Amino acid sequence: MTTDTVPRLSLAEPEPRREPTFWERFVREPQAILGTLIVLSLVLAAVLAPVLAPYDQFRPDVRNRRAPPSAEHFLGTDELGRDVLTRMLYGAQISLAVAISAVGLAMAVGTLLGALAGYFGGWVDVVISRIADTFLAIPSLVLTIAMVAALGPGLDKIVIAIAMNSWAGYARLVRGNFIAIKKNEFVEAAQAIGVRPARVIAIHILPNTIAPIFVIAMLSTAGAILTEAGLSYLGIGINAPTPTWGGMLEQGLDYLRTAPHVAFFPGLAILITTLGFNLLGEGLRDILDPKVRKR
Amino acid sequence: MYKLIVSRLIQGVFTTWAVVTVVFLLIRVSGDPVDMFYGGAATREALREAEAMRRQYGLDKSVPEQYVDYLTDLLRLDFGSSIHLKRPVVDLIGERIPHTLRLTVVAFMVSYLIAIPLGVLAALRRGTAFDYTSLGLTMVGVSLPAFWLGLMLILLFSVQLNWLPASGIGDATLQGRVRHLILPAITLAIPRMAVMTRFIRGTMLDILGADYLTTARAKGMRERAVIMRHGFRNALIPIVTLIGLQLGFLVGGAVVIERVFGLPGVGDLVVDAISGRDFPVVQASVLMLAISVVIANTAVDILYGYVDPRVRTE
Repeated sequence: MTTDTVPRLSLAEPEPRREPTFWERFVREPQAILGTLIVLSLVLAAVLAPVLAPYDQFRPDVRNRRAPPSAEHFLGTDELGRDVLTRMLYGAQISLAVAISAVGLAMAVGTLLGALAGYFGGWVDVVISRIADTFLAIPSLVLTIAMVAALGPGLDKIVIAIAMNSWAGYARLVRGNFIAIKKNEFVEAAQAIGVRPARVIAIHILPNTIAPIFVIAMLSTAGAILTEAGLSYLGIGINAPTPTWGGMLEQGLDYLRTAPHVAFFPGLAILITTLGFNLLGEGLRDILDPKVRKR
Repeated sequence: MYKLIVSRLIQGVFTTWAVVTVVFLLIRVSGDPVDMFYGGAATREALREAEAMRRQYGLDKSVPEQYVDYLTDLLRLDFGSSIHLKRPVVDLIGERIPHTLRLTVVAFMVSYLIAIPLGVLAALRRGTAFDYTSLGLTMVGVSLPAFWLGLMLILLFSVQLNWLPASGIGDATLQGRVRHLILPAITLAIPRMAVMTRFIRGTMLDILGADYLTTARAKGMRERAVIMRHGFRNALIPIVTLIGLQLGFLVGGAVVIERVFGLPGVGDLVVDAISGRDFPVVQASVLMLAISVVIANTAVDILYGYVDPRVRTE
């Protein structure tokens, strides 16, 4: 806000309204707040799993198999008598670690390739865009399954498989934004005074496109958690005895009639987690997208 | 229009070739499938068998040679034979396609039949309790793990209420088939329906604020006609574009849903083949699923030209 040195002549001229800051918008966006709370509690639960978990995650208790929820076992026990709550807490570590690494990898690769395509155009753009289109054309779960079939099971391979099927979305988004932003005068000015392309990309253009990337990242974290759970459920993801929500659910399948809690709670955990990331993503989109704000 | 169709077809062929190549590379880059199949067995007999198998599948040749062989076989629709089942992969997939097709088509129709009216209504009643309820429920729908939803529906409708069968395809009668398809189709449809409802609501909201609707009202058109003729028809354009993407998700989702409900579709075949390292089956089924989505997308692109006259002149 500038201070007026010349006295105002017209009273009719309205005081220009200040745009609300990010935080002012954030506190008025219930979706974003709820999403943040859910995600934060999950991260806390995962990090503090060794402290919070009441039992050992691997040790079986044969006399206490498939016990329903009780005071000793809040969420009951599984087919080997292991505490379901304990394994779910450790499962949160796996789910979040896989999702965050996969999304981070996809975001890094996609942003880099999208930036190159958008900034340089020409044949660089043609090659990158064609490859991205191909990946977008293959149904993502089918592609992931093919990748897992090729790479084999294991945490690192799941991360690569999930990242491989989502980088193209970032590339397309970043490419579009780069094409739009590079026409601006501040970019031309930077180029004119001889700033290197790498620096123009990283310092002048990229910061202007971070917000939508972040929104996509939140939404695709939810997708990555669902995919990992789906793969583990199909038995082609992360192998037992590592506790994963999808794997726990799969094991509970055989006792659906007698001990439904074994399958119920891990599924609920997946739902709450993806809900948290989706709420956060949608909330942030509403905060950041001026078109939505006007509605 | 003719030019549009030709260019989309060429694009479709190109994408199909790219998909074929990606799948080929994926399988080769990951190492020798025969080694994986025999998994470190070192008896002389196993080694000899592995050698024979390598020759049988042409894996003793160089990668470019394999690629050429692979493309020629594909053009002849020769996908090889399953290692475990000792039967041509084409036959195996052919038997299973009807189940996958039935499931995805029904789920697709259910999701759109609910999503379109729901999304339009939510947009028209924006800010009301109806809108907020639909937004909240669809948000949960988007986040639902489909396999868990399936299990919960089985618990409720099969175990508790005993209304519908929990798994299998039933006898060949129409009634049996339908009863066995209800739960899987609903399970597959709900997440898609939620996504589409939210999307249609957003699209309608964009259109409801457009100047041409004000113009239509100003010339004295009835509100219903304004919404249907000017509003909804324009909303159809982005809805049609998304059909292709949604089909991709449905096909992917079907893989999981078939496992939950014990349906003998292509997805079920793929998962078994992956666990059993039956790579000719994996390769062919992944290819089939991917190509069917590419074909659907090409069809949608062409359809798009009919819905939106602007695309034709591009």
